[in-house]
Order: sequence, then structure tokens, then C-alpha cells
Amino acid sequence: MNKLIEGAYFSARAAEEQRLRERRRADLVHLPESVTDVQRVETSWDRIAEAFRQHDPDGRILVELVTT
Amino acid sequence: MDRRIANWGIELALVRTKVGTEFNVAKSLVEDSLNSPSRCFGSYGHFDLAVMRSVNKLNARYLVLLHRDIIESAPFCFFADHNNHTKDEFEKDLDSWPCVFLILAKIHVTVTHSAKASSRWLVSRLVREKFPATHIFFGLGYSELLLITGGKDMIALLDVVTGLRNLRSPGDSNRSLFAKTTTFPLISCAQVHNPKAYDKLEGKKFQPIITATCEPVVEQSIAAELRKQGMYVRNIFGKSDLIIGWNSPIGIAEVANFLTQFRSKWGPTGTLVKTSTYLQSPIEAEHIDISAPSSTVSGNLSIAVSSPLRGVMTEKEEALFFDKLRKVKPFALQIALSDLTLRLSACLNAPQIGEHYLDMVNTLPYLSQLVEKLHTVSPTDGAHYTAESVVDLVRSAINQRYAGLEFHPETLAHSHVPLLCDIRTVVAAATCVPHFIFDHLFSDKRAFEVWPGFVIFGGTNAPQYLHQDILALPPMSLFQPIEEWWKITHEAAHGIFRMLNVYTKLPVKTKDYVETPLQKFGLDDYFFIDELFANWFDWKYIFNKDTAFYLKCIWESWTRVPRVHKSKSQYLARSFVLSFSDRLPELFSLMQVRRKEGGQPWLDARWEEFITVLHTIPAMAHYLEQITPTEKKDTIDLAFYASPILAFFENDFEKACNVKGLSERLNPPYPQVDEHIRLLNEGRIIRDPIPNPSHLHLKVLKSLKDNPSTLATEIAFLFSLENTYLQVRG
Repeated sequence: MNKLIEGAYFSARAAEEQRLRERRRADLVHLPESVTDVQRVETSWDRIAEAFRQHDPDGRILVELVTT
Repeated sequence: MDRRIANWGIELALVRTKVGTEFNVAKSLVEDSLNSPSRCFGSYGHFDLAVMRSVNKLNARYLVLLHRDIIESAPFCFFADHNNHTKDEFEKDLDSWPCVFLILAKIHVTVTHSAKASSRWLVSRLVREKFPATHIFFGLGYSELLLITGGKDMIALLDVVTGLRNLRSPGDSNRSLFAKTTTFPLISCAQVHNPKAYDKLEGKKFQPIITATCEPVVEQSIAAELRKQGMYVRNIFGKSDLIIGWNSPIGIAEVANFLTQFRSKWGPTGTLVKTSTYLQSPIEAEHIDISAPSSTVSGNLSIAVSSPLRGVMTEKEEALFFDKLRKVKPFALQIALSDLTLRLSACLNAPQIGEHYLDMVNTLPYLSQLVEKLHTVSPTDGAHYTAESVVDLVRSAINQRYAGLEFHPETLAHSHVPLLCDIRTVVAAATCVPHFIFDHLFSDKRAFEVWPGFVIFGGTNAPQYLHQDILALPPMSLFQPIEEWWKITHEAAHGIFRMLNVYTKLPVKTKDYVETPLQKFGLDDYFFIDELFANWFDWKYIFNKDTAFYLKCIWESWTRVPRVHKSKSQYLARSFVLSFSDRLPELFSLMQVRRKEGGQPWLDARWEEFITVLHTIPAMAHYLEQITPTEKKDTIDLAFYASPILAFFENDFEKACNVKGLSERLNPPYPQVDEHIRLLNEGRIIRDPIPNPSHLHLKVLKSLKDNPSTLATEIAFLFSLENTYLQVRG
């Protein structure tokens, strides 16, 4: 039998990502879905920006991260 | 020999209609023809009509429109080369021939195995030497060739078919040139059926056989009527119910006339479901070589069938796999997985087609491990969900490589998307670029050790990364290989992100910097990083940091996707961050004096440069007008906060993920690229393996300068990618 590298096989993490991707595609075609899932993966990059702003408002943590 | 693809091909549709309505349907289809007129012919098998038209582009409307009397149709496309007769000569022949024979021909695997992309030319040359009047077209599925011949004498044409079937493989006179042929004898609607000019059909008398499917209650009535006409009718006990024949030889004109009358009379009653007519000719003794060996294929393509997975798994692995399969629950999933395993292994083990399923062979080890997970991981971990999805995807993929194990055109008609069946050349061509990427991911591993998935066509209007690292191209891209298929590299990058575990290779502090705020907001940091990675990988390794061209390509594509308009900051940020990714040290040096004073003005300047580039893309004008100040701020902030992740990709990805040298491996020397583009523009196939198919693809795309590619270039490109893939996959 072919010997695949370990990362090529099924993993729970990959299954979860696919589930979220399918939720996102469902959003694309306007199917009902879990609001929580969609917020996690798609319509929320403005919320990602807000999350970062709250976490590191003046970029001080980032500066420390990239200069140390 | 002139190995150039011509700038035209034919679309062929086999159509089954309600019995007795076929000529009305034919009339509608001809009247509905737009620029390229359709020609209709009566057929006498499973299908009732064959409709053909010439095409000079691939992405055209299907010739069979909705019609209340059409029950099913099977579509095919075939393409001419410069050795074929011209389009005008072909159309003239179609318009003048009372009888036409379509012969769908599968080239013997021994020829395709040795001649690869040249096999279609090699075989068509041999056919032309013996039968110069034949029109020959190249196919993309099970039948590599479509041979069309015609005339007035249908019985004489049967001899042509017999002669074609008896052609021998070059270099081995004991082997057939063709593994299988399927013949459709047709009679012209324009020449014969419509004017009822059956006397145009010539040929010596013969004894055809007709089978009919009907309701039992009318059998006696049909039999009584036909016996009065001097025919015999008997019950048969299989798929059909009646066998009908003549007691003495009869002319083809009388047969055609009889069938038209018979179907017109019984069809409207709703009791006659179907008729199939079989022409016969004697087998000449001189055609039989009883000393020839059996037709089994020798060499490494011959796989014993005593064990279903022989050649794919060891007996021990197979026993373990089967044992695990027996225990799968629910039983519906067990049946689906078991049937899929047997079906795929049957395809892999079939000598004539097994080679064309080799890209799917990793499905079996993947399934074997997945089935084990069904027993060992929590139901919430998605193993069942993955298994159910994989079953559907693999089934579609099997049909796309061939519509069934044997050639049954009706299988295409029964498929839920007939155009996405029997397209194995298209699939192989689309596999070339992702195979190239996975083949070069590691310095010491080949694609078959790395990539569990394959390529399918299907899904939504955008490429998709699916379970098992299966990469899907949208159905609409089927016949737009140059303009659409380049997008698959982004999906391959998602697969690489997963298989290299890039997420876990991020430095702990960088990961925490993203994870902490996002998880606090209930957001998925894996997805955020994955999307950044896929865009970065594509830009760096595939587009070679040609930022302006990359932005043009992705934004022309993205502006057609509704969600890109709904989530502007996401897509702007994913591309904006790349526009300065190789200048990150500059940004970070300015950060010493805090973002506000140092980094922000620099980022604002990059934003202006970025927007200036986007303004050069005509498709973006409306989109750019709609960006609000808030979306602009979100975009710049996202790019800023994502910069440590991009810095990791730029500086440490190859080392951290054990793929050092990837940049060089994915960009091997390719001095002949301009010569290859010239060949494609002339409709010529690149016969040597293409050193870097993704580079060739992007250069061809760039050379188009927004003009559509010609059919000849598209088909030459498609055959060239197929040829490279078959040669390099090993």
C-alpha cells in the first residue's frame, strides 16, 4: 500500500476546518446555518480587526514581538 | 505529420425521446440552432436521435435545449486536428450523406501506454491510411477518437466498421488497434426522414433485429399486426420484452420506413417504451486469427483479480481493512464505504482503464486509516462526517474519469451532471499543476507519498479545498482551462498548510498574539492564518512575487464572488498584506518608535500604492468606489496585525516545516518556456514534460492580455498538461 506522510491522513482538526468551510459555502448560497460558525470563519474580519485593536491598541505588543 | 489542433471541433448529443416524437424534436433542435446549425439524425439504439454541430469555442451553450419530449441526452465534445478534413468538407458531407456512422473508439491500452499524447495522432494516421474518407476527431474521455463516415449504402458502411475494428496495433499484429468500438448507424433527418425519401438508402438486403420494451398488455396486439406483415415476433426475457425480425432479407430503406411507422403508431399510446435496432454482418473467416494470444494485457498493467485490492494493498493490509470495514456503523455508511472500495479497486484493476484511476489510488490508504478512526475517535471529531463526504466525492470522481466501467453513453445521460462525466483527459490535465506542486514539496518525496487527494470538477462557482485534500474546480471552468484553472494552486496551498501542520509550527509568541484576541471574540484563528498562508504561498511560489499580475488575477476572479463584496476588509487585507510582504523589515524597523509615529505613515503610503495598482484593473472600479473609511481602516489594521505571521512565512516557513529549497524546487530552470507558448499558440502539443506547468500556465494567461484564447490553444494546452502529468507521475 502507498505510504503517505502522516499529515496526509484524516485528522479531527482537518474535519473541523472542512465543517466550517462548508458552513461558509452555505452562507454563500444563502442556506440557513449556525450563526456562530459563520461568525467564526467568514463575515467577521472586521471583528478580527476589532479583536486585535482591543488586544494591542497601539501596537506595543506587536513591536515587542517583532523586535525581540 | 502535422500535429496541430484545428480551431474547430464538434459537439455531439445523443438524445432519447418519447417514442414517436423524435422527428418533431429534431425539427425543434434544428430550428433552435443559432450561429452554428445543428444536424439531426435518426438513431436506432438506446438513443433515438444524434445531433451534431461544429463549434469554434469550448464554452458554448449546450445544443440540446429543454423540450417536453426529450427524456435524456448524453453530451460529448470532440476536436479536429489539421490532418482532418476541413470543417466545410465535414459539414458538406453531413449535409449530403443519407447514412452516417459514428464510431466511438477506445484506443488499445498498449498503444496509449507507449505513445502517450501521440497515440491519438498515431492511430488516426493508421485509420486515414486505410479509410481516407473518414473524419476523425479527438475525444476527452473513454473514447479517444470519434470516427465519422457516411454514404448511401449502409450495408457497405458496415464493412468499413468491420475493417476499422480489425486494424492492428503497430508493431504487434496480434493486438487490436482499438480495445472497444461503439457504433451508431444514423439516418439523416434532412436527407431521408423529413422528406420521407427512404429510397435514397441503398445497399444489399439484410436481416436486422429489433428489440422492443413495452407494456405486457399490448404484446399480443403488436405481434398480431407484425405477423400480418410477414415478420416474426417473440418474447424475450431480459431488459427488453420483444424481439422482432424479418423472415427473409430486407432493404435498409424498408427497415427505416418500418421503424418510423411502427414507432409513430405505438409511441403515442404510451405502451411502447423503447426500440433498439441491431444491424448484422457475417464474421469473415479471414478476420480471425485463432493462433493469436488472448487479449489480456501483459506487463505491469496486468493485475490478477483473485483479490479485489491486489496491487494496491498487501493481503495483510487488505484483511485488516476489510475487518475494520465490517464493523463500521451505521450500516448505510458501511455499505457505502464497502461498495466504494470495491468499485474503485475494480477500476484500478481493469486493464483498459486502470491507468486513468492511478491519481485516485491514495483514496484506499486514506479510507483505511479513516475507517480505523471511525472506531477510535469521538463521534464529535468528524470522522463519520468526513467519511460520508468522501464517499460522495470519490463516486463523482470515478464517473468523471469514465462513465462506468464499460462504455455506456446512457450512463452520462443518467448522471446528475452529464457534462461532468467521462472527462478523464480534462481531469488529468487539471491534475498536472497541483501534482507538480505536491511532487516538489519535499526534496525526497513524490506526490503519491504526500497528496491523498485528486482533482474533481463540481461544487460551487469557485474552486474548493475539500476533505482528503481533494481539489475541486467549478463546473463552469471545465472548458476554460487557461482562464480558470490557475486558481487551483490556492486550494493546493490549503492542503499544504494542513499536511505540513503550518499552524503548529508558528512560534509560540506569534501564535499567542493571534490566538488570544481572536478566541476571546469567539473567532477562528486557524482559519485566519490558513487563508493568509494560501494567498502568500500562491503569491510567493506560484506567481513568483509578480504582485501586479497576482493582484490582477485574483481580483478579477474575486469581484465575481458575492462574499467578496460582503466581506471587503477580509479580501483587501489578504491581498494588501502581500503587497508589502517582502518589505516587512522596513516596517518593523519603523516600529521602534511605535506604530502611530513610524509604522502608520508607512502603511498608509503602501495602501495608496496598493490602491493605485487595483485601479488599473477595470473590473475593480465599482468595488473600489464602495470601500468605506471603516473598511479601509479595518484592512490596514488587519494587514498590520497579520504582519508577524507573514514575517514567519517569509523568513522561517521552509525551515520550520522541513521544506528547505522549496522556492528552487517549484521554480526549476525553464529556458524553453517561450518556445512552448509559441507551440500552444499554434495549436501544437508540447510533447516533452513541461518543467514548470504552473509557470507556463501563468505566462500563457499573461500573454492573452484579456483576449479569449482560441479553441486550438485551449485544447493543445489541455492535451499538453495531460501528457506531462502522465509522463511525470511515475
